[in-house]
Amino acid sequence: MTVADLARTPAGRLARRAHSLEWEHVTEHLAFRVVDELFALPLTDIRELLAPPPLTFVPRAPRAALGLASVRGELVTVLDLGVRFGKRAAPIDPAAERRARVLLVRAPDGETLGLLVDAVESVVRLADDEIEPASALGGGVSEHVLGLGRQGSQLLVLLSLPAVLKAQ
Amino acid sequence: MVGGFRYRRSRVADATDKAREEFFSEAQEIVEGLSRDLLALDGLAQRGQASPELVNDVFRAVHTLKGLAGLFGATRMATLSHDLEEVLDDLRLGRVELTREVLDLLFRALDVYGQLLTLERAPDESLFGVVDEFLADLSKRVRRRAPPEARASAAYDLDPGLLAVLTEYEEHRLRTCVASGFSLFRVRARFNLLTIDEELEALKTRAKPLGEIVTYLPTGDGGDAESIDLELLLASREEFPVIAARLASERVSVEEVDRRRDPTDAPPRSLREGAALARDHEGAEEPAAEGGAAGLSLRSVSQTVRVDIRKLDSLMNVVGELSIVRSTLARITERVRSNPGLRELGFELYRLQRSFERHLGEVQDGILEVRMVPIGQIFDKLGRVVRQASREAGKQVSLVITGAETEVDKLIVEELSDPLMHMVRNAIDHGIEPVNDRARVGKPEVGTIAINAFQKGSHVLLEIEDDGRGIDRARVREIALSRGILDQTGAAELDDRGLLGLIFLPGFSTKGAVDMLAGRGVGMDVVKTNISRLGGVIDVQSEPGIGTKMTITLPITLAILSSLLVEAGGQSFAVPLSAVEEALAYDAGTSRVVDAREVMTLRGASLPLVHLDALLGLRARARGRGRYVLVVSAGTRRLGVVVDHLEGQQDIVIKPLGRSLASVRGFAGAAQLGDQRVGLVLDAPALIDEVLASGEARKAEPRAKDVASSP
Repeated sequence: MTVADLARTPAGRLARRAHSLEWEHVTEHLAFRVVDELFALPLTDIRELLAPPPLTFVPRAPRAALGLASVRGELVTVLDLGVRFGKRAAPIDPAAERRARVLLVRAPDGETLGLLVDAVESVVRLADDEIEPASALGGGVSEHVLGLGRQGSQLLVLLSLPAVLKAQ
Repeated sequence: MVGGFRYRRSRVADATDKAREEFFSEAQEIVEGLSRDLLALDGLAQRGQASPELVNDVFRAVHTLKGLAGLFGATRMATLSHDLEEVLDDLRLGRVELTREVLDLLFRALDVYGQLLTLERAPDESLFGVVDEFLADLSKRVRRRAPPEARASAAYDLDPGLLAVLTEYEEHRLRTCVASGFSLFRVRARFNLLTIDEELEALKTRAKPLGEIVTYLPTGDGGDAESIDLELLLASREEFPVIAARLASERVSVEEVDRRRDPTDAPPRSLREGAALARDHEGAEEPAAEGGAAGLSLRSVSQTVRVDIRKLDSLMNVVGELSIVRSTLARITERVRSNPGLRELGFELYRLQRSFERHLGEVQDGILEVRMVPIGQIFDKLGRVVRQASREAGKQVSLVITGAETEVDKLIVEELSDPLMHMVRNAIDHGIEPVNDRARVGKPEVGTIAINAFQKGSHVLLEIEDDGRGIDRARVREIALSRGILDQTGAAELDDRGLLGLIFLPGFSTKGAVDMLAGRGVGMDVVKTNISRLGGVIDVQSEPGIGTKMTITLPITLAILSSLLVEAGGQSFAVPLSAVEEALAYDAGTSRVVDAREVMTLRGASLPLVHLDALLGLRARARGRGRYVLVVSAGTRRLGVVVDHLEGQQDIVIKPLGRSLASVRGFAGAAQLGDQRVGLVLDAPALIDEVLASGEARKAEPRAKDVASSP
């Protein structure tokens, strides 16, 4: 499945696909790039992929909050993961980044949020033995890092969505 | 279902045999009476008649049986009676027609009563099967009921609009008359406005001997500047020719209201006009005769509908989207109209757009109206709170309520419940003095909490007033100092209003100990937050020794907000119109800086000013001319907000910011502005609080605005 297909696939189908694979102890992750690093979120956490919508800047908002967008009538706060992870000081201009995408996710409290990433790379299937827990990295790892995924030479930082969305 | 009717073996275990005997004989007696009544009903129904009295008697008998059965643990009989009661209640209130089928059911129930009485005396498990089968059957029937359409089928072809305006009494009379086999006649009369009183009286006098005037109403159509058309609904045992002969005249026409047959049957026959009287005599007696079998209910349409508020919300969202279409349409219309070559098209478009606008307004008003409920809904709950809380506090309190009928958006009513409860508890706990103290200062022993609700413009005001000891200023000051809410210099500068305002700050509670009533860790700050979330403001006035009055000012509805769009720092913001007093041209030359605060003079009073772009930390545009001062107010406090442009007025559907932006102050939410744009809605009361409380515009950390929505 290419990323282009993914963007057109309804979230429900994605969820089912991912679910059907669970019994093999293989999980599907969406890999994306933020600045210079590859991250991944479980495919089941992602409702939709969007090209960056027009955003309304929210004064006084936390730095990572890029702005507000309206997605089919629903108000969505878009966070810049680059700022969130401390990889850049100021948000990028999503309109100027050709490959930038917004991942729509649902927070545990039901709020829909958008996560701005620099580029979406691919869907990665990881077997259990391809995942290293965060503890393997030693102490001082950020709370939002769940573990590391390794496929060949590719190294992915697996994220915990609730921790990513926790108050910044 | 059957499992629920398990026979209780200990059914009369603790009743003496004598009492049980009495139960059997009384039940037997009632069942016999029931049998007589049902037979009488059956006889009437066969002649197309009905008797509300009889139905009511049957209902009462079954009700009594239910009570008896419950008392003696005769579970099946109680269940049977309970379910039958439902059927009979519907029958009694005209929700269900007394059809052949219903009568059969009642007779079968009668048989079951007989069987049950025998079985209760000498239980035989094998026979309960039949009974349980019927019970299950009946209970299914009760639960299923007739669908509304079926039971709403009226015996008469009456205008639902007419039925809708009948008072309960009139409707009852109407039903009663029809049930007693009266026919209905519609009498239309034109009256001269000058002599209507005498003419109407004369007509009534002529009609009285013929039957009963159920109601008379203006028809709404017909009539001119000098006359008015009234429609009388007359119930009479007489036949059409008689009625017409007595009443019809040049200005009075008579129609017989057709009885409706089966709703799926042939369409109702057209009404015979009084003028056609001579030609059409036969058949006049026929409707009355055949009407009974068709059913005796006149209640044609259920007049209330319960709707999930979320459905109204989603309708409102659609209206919101349509409002955006309207704005776009208006813009396009303007463009077309300014093109000389398209004048005709422009005019047509303009007419279309106006009509769209008007209808959309009606839809919007309609939905808003549906959302409105009397605020009194929450007052009932408050009565219980007062009783309980005053008992716990050992005080005597009476609650006096006025304006319970004032209508407010359903959501506001719901959200208001908790804050109000808290305020009332506060008043009992901190305001009203113990009985002894009250006696000492010569106040009546019973303290009073008065709640007064009323509408004022587009707002609803709620006053919660107690005649207690008032707020102790010295104590407020002391607590604020001890909790570090206030420092000495701050305390010295505070005026009375500011001092009272301290009770709304987080961490403030005037009573030392945490008690059962008010001290649950939620204070007036929560009340205030809840109310401002509803777009309301709260104000407090207090006279030591006399009492305290809290005033809550709320918008009537939350769903749609008229707002003014303004631009500041290159970004559009919406300001609720309800908060805007006026807009003036800003002239930097006339404002002065007093103690680091910019102030202008407006009609002799000082108006503090704040620049919205600076306040929000937006990059300021070039300071040219053409800026505006928006005078916003909350309660009695005013603030001038300087903005770059006024973009115009727009109705918006306001949506709350998500939890991820919960920490952001100064915005009441966001709204779609059209063209896919989202605009932030300024929270005027919060801005006023912020600016006036801090003494100067908070120096928001300037942050380069890297991302703009659209320029």
